Amino acid sequence: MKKLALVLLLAVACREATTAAPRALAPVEATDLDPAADTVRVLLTASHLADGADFLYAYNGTNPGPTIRANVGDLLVVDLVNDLDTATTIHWHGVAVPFDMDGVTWMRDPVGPGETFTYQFRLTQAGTFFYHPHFDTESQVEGGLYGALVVHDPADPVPDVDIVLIADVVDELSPMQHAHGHGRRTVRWRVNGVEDAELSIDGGSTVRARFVNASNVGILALSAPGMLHIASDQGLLPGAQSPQRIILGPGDRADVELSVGEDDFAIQTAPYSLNGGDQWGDPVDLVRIAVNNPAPAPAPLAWPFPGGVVSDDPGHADIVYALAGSDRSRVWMINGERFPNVTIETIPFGQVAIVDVVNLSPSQHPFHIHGLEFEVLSVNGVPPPYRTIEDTFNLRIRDRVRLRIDADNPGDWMTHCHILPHAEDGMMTVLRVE
Amino acid sequence: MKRLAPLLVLCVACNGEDLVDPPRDAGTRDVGVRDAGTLRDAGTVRDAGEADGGDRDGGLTDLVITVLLDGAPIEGAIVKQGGAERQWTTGPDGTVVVDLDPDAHGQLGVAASHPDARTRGAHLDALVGRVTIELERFDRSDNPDYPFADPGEPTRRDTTGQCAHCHLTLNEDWFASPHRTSAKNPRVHDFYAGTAATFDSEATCTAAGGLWREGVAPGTGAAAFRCYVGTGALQAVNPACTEPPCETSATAFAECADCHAPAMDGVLGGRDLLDASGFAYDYGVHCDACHHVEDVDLAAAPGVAGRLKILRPSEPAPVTLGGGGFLPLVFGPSLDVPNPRMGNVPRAHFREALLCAGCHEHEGPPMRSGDALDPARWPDGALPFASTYSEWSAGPMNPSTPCQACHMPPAADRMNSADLQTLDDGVIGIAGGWRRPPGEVRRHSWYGPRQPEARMLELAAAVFVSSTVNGNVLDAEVTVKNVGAGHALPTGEAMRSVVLAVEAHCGATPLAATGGDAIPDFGGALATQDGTGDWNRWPGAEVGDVVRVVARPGGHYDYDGPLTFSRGTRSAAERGMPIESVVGSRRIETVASNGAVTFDAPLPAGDVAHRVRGSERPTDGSEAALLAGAPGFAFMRVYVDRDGRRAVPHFLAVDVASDNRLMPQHSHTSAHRFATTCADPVVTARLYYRAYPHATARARGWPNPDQRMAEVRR
Repeated sequence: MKKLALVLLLAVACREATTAAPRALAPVEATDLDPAADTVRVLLTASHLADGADFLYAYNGTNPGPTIRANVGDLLVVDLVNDLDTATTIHWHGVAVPFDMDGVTWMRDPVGPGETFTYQFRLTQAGTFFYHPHFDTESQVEGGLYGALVVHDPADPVPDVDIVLIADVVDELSPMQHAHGHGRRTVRWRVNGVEDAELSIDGGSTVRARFVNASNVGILALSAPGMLHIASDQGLLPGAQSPQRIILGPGDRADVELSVGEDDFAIQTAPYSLNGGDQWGDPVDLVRIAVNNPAPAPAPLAWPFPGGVVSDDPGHADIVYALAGSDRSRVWMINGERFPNVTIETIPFGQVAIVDVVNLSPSQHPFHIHGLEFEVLSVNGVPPPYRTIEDTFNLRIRDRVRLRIDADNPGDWMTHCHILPHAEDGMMTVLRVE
Repeated sequence: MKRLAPLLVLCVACNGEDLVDPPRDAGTRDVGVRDAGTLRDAGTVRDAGEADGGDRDGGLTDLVITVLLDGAPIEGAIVKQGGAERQWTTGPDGTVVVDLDPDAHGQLGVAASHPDARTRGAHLDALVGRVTIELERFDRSDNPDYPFADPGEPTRRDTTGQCAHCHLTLNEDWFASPHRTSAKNPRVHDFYAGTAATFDSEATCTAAGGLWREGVAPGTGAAAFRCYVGTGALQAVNPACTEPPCETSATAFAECADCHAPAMDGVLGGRDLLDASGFAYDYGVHCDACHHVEDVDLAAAPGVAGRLKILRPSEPAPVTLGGGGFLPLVFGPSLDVPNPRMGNVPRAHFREALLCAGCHEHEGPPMRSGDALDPARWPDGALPFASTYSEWSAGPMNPSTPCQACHMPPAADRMNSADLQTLDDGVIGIAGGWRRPPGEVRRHSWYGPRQPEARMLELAAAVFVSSTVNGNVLDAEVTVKNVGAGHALPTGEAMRSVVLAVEAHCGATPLAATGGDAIPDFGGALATQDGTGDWNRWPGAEVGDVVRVVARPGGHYDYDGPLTFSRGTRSAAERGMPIESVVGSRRIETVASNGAVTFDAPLPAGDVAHRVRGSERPTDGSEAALLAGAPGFAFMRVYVDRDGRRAVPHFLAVDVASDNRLMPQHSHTSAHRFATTCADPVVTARLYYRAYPHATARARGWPNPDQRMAEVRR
């Protein structure tokens, strides 16, 4: 991956511009340390930030961590240096890595303080992915240890702007907040570490905005004028979609195409609570787009959409995961069990399994499976309007979702809610492929 | 703004008097007045006393709150900032220094609460100074002279005397819930008096085999002709009444009203359900009943007979305040409801399963006069009549996930229980309440099977199918698992059942069942005969009826049921479900006047035969299919009466013959065999819920639809 997509470092202007120095909104790009054409090697050093910084931790001193870009088929090598005073790992969220590279501490030690670990795996799927620790996850992600991994498909058209927008909620571990991150009256979002973010983009530009929800508990309800939804967790959708909004729970990603024309606009998120969905309040701006040199909006790009339709629901499930718990008790369970004392469900390697996930709890849950992708066959018995291949899917209260999994990657895959305090407090299990 | 005017009126009522005491000393403001018999109200602290620079933008605060209880500083009172996430507890001197969030929405204010007193609050103009909030103990004697308030309805909420006037959406939730109809439910009254309200004329009554006699009409107490069918609870518990109607002569009332009509004015407990009239009848379990539950005593009799300790206000107050001339008093979950119109006292049980146990847990000796338990089977002398709370207690949801977590889900779109989102910002404070965190307000819908839109049945169970084919034999295993319910499946009234029906097909061709588990008798049959009967004689049969034959090869299912029917507490035989296998079925071709029938082919040999009619498979929303003897299984707590009749109501029970309901995360696997004509047959498993045993519903003319839980084809 030597031919990086055109990525602009875009200036941000904050409301309190008098006190905030302009800074790049786009995350820092990772430096490829390997000259080989099909290998990307990156050094990530996890360390504490100085007192007074916006975050507690950072990879390579930046929040978010550097965006790692590679092409499909590349070998990715990441040398993690742990300069923290606590153990850590890196989990490659959404990437079909070998189990040893998954960054989980199920049956293996984390990377201790002062230690290093080299993650190495080949990238087989284009898309926007997310890396973060999977050890003391709630604290370390909230502290700022997260970044994006962008795997390009050379067949994709190159937009004028290809930017990662990692959204995060400010101060999610505040002791004042309601139990488990539930129920904050107001949520302050920041994008790429910046509140009240603004991008200056030339009119007539095409933009591929790669959204990653890196918050612990916040759920985005994204909207923007003329927004086209072109890709979800595992790459391009069958075709461009024009949803009124895109719901993104923690750990979820969405790529949208924006055609910038003559008028300023904003990418907004509506108030949306894990405690029941649509919430009172008005939408807020996540990122304001200030148009430089207004020009007619360009036509959408010609993405190589794969097409396809939703697979048939076979009428049965092999595995059922029932999500339960309560924000008041801070106990969260799958099938009545709390990690690590769980019943391991097994799918034989190479087989297809149908998994039902039901949510009877008083909270929404972004359901995430490591190492595997899944197709959403139905939500409450109704097939989705178009085929989506995901690794994270947000269940609303009383949703029953049927998933199709091709068990093509052996391992003991963590399967959990990506509301990080829910996972920390038990809503996690293991799905074995062998 | 649409509801601003009524609430402003309410605000005037609440705050219009000069309710703020003169300063006790310089720099101090008390909240409340002292003359007994008048409203002790939350007022407004009009200045900050010693305030010297605190402002709502500064965020640096030094506000000292002192809480008095009956004039003395009280330790342990909770001080909470309205509309914020901060709360504090007073120390031994009754004071606490608070650090208010200057950005809290609405009027800046605090509320002080204590379990022994009505919550009170104060609006503040500054973030520094000293404020004293006076609480007073409420009278802990229940007042039978208190008239339960009108909850109102979504279309009738014009006055501030109705809960619905302010609590719009909570009232809408409740109005659509089964709690609202608990006292007027015709099925409840049919069981109570031994009637069948469906048969509302002498002709239809007589045709159904009932007695058309003058009794007492529910809701009015007026004399009315009713159709009497079977034995009702009143007859069961009043031995002097040997035949219906028993309404006018009864002296015992079977505890029904204690839960079904808890808000009857006057003395509580032991009342006649037919005494319920007005709001008590129309609205059943309503706001003013539940929110007067001051405590829950599990050891006491269910409902308002003692378990739910109802505390109705007794301190006199101006009638203009509402509350029937008494100082308002309600109990609720929140610590920061100082609106004097409510008189709120916090109680944690509103967020606990314990509150639900007030009625959804019931046991006792046989209710019918003269009946007795077998002490060997029931050494404690009590039969379980409703055990939902015990089932939950014994499962993995205890204690983390109380009933409210599933049955009262969050309503994130509501700012508070008074629908603050519809109000003008000016009333956000003591009058209108403060903005709550999203989801803090819970729907008062009590979602269950009777609200299909909530999909609770679909979420409760999972069905797994596996099968093998050997030659022309298809062997299938079907596992039913309680994946979602935190209690047994089914739960509630013992009449509830869950039926699993299993079929197999080659293409469109149904396959004949040749063995495997059969649906028990409580899956529904018009008539059942054991091996001693004459299976060629079926009185009442019609051409086209089907007789299903099952075998009892010996032994009992070793199922793992709830509580005292769990594996290990009784032997399989004591748990009472004999293994029954499908043998075959035949269609009746002719019927003679004496009930003699002929079949389309000779009946196979077996041990039990069920005569059925109609659809052979359950269909969502259609009348319950008669499935006894068909391939499948079923789950139910089966009561028997003194005469050995099965699936009787609880008030006639002397034993539980079996209880194979599925505890949380428990499963049961049944086996089924078919003769297949293809190599790739498809097995279909249908899991359906039904509210009543077929015989009960048929005798009383009750609608009894099957409700789909799961359908799996594999």
